[in-house]
Amino acid sequence: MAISVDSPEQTRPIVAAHGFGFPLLSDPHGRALDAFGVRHVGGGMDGDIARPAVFVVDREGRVVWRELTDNWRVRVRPDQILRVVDQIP
Amino acid sequence: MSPGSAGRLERVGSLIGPPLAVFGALSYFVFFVRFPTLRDLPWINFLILIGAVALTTLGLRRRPSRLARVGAIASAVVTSTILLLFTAYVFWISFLLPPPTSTARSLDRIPDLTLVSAEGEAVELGSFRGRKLVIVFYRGFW
Repeated sequence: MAISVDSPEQTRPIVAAHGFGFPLLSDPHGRALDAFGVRHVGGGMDGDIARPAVFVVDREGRVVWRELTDNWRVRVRPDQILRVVDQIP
Repeated sequence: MSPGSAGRLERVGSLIGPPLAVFGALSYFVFFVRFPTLRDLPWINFLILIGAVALTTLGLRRRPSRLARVGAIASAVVTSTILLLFTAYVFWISFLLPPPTSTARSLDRIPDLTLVSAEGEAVELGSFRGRKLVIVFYRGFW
């Protein structure tokens, strides 16, 4: 899933345009930002946003892998995430 | 390079440099960003930008009039500034992130949260139990 601080009204056209096969969830109050510790205070034009982060979670809800980049241009490669996911039983 | 072609480059370098620099910087965001290795290290964009600066430097060498000299200097300044700004973006501005918090570094289990899907439905993170989950926080755009 992907989590954004944008409202459902803002994410709906994005989902419609790209036809994602995963849920794009809205977190307009930033509750997930604090729960995952990824709030970037004043990072967006309208206030706080997420610092880029990826968490891989096993079937029991345990975080088994994370990528907390220090450069927003440099993203983890999808095949790297898929290798991690494949290792989860 | 023959003397003739160097002379031609001196004449047109000041004209070509600035638009080439604009192309070199903008093409990163419009096109090259789609390719992961070129997004991480934009070496093609740096080559184009350095080429643009080199052209304006050539353009400084031979100017027939005062006005043309001023134009050549302005062209070199604009082009160098674009290279400088792009370099700052790649090696400094894109690192302007808060350091990872201890929560993000040590989070053991995903929290029980209810968020809203694009369709407006409430989605509990706990409802994904029993499935592998990749959670991506993104900043927007790309």
